[in-house]
Amino acid sequence: MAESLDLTSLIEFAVSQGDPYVALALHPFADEKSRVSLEKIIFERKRLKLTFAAAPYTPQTILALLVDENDEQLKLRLSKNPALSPELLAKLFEGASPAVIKNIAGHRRTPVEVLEEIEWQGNDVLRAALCTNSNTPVNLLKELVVGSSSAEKKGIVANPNADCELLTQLWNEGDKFVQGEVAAHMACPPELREQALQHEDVLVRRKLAANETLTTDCLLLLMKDEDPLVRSAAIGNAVLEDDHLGSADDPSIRVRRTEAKRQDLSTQIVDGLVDDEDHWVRRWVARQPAASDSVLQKLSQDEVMEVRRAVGRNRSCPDYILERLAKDEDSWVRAGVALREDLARHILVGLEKDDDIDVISAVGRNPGTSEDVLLAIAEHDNRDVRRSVIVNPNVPDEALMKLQDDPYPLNRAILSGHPNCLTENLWFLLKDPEPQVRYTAGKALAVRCQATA
Amino acid sequence: MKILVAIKQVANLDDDFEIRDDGKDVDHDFCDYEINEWDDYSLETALQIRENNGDEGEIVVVTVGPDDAEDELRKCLGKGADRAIRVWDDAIEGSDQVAIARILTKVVEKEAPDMVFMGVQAADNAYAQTGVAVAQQLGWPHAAVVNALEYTPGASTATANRELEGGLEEKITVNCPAVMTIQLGINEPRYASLRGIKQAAGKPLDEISHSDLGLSDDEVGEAGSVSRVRKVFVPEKGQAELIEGTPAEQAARLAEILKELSGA
Repeated sequence: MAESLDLTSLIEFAVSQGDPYVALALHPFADEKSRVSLEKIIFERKRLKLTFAAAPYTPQTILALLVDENDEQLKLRLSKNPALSPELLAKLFEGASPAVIKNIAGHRRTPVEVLEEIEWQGNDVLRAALCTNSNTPVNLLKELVVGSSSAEKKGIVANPNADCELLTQLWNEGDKFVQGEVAAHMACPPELREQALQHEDVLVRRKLAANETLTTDCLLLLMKDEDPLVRSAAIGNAVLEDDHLGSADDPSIRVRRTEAKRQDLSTQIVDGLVDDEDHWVRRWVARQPAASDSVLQKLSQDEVMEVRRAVGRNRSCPDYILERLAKDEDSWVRAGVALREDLARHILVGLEKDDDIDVISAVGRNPGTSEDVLLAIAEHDNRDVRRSVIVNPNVPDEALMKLQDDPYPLNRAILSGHPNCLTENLWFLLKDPEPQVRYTAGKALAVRCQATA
Repeated sequence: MKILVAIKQVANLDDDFEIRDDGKDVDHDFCDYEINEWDDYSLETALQIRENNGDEGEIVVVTVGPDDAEDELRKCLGKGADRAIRVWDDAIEGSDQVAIARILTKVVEKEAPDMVFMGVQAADNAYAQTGVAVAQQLGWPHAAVVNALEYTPGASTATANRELEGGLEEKITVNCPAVMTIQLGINEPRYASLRGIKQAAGKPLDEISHSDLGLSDDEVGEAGSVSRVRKVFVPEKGQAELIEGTPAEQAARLAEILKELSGA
């Protein structure tokens, strides 16, 4: 039985063990009759019910049963559970206490019909919850904005459902922070954008510059703003096309850094930034896909270690540079090279002999690493180094069999949830001392059973 | 060499919890239980001393607690302790730190260890008294809040660094046997290997009552305690108000609040 992929055997095992966490994992996959047996284990203690009602990992099949229970403490926890489905939230709302309604009002998955039914008038707590709920519909937002406080306006303006009419009202009634959010809103009307463009406060202009629905003309104006924060936001705006970039001469480091971070720079712009005095700019340039061999060659000899590492992480970096970086004096640079899945075998062989833990961890993740090295890493003294082997797509079964018995619980938790994990490992982990590991192993086995059925 | 390590299973509160009907504790339904963090460090200290002594010697863990506390003792056995003792019966319920210390003192007298390690304090009740109370009742030397320890089994003294306020440390030498209350960070506690956890199931775990230790009913529980919990409660939260409006409106509201508070 121990290596089979048969749901019936798995459920029989869970029932015989009486383990609520394994039972919880299997419940959605079980038939009606088996579910009853599993529910006896899952609901055996009040403490478990309270735990599962609040846990985001609890399956909806169990949450549905808990919603039906007439227990205020359970309902309170359910109303805080971020994974509770819209249907169950609607059911929970029926006859709910004020404390539960408050949580439902602020819950991101509460259906619009329920939000509209909440009687918030005269209740500041409910009003605040609805103002900050991104699901609140525009008609309700328009009711909430009447007589709203400054804090409530800030909640309303961040709502993606706000329309032009509401945003205009908020602009007219709000302070500069509210106006800034209006300027950044996707639905900000053109006339308010014009006003924001001329606004005396930097905050409003900066927020406007980050709005990804702006026209290129508007962004070009903002790129000439006297304030570097505004120019930086404009140059980081994804709407701006390559031919409008080129801030190598900008006196602000912030602006140059933002431009260097973009991944769509042309070779010409990259060449303009390569000698920047700021190492953060050079670091981002070293990651650019458009960086030429000569740029990478130059940056691979940079005095700042992080810049050299960035070169080693660049997908376009040629082997002859990687070969040198694999022998860099700084282990963090060598580790960056060792992480490359496309690394030439002869370079990786050299790194396999490295004794630095960062490099060994990177070698452990590399699919090109030889099997005997992976087996050795799986037995390394350092628990974090051992973990690297688990996520290696070419991890040998023998290494996984060693790691299923790893004393460090996190390593077993990662193993139980990773696609590399063998069915045999999963059966073993069903008896793990950590509930999280048992739950994850049970769920993974059930998914595999279902896939093979 | 024998080291006795006293541990406690402590409660970890839920975000939403309820007080028990008698108002003297949190309802257990709203608690998770785990080993007291300080005790993890105490056990590790004992394990390291034994390892540095060629794995010679015995480590005994003891707790005063109900059935569930056995889980924590098993975890200690899984890490390498040799034997465990759980002291409990209905009469012990309601014992304060002095009554618990009285029970542990009897265990120490029975076991006659070379050294006793305990956590500085328990994460739930935070009295930080049990360890020093045991030392006082035994008439043994003690060092509290120990963050470094030099002790060779069989030696007549041990040298400990004690953590003081303001980043100061005090180095003291005490005669052995002694009681040490161990501070967090003295070492890096290990995790129990799965093999160790399986082996722990076969290690001896004695369950004894207060009468097995020669204690009368008057010496344990509420009767044997010097303090009583009268009430456990969540204090009322203070009020805060964000004053909005023009400076004149804000000043007017502030004056209003001051008048309300001063009773004018």
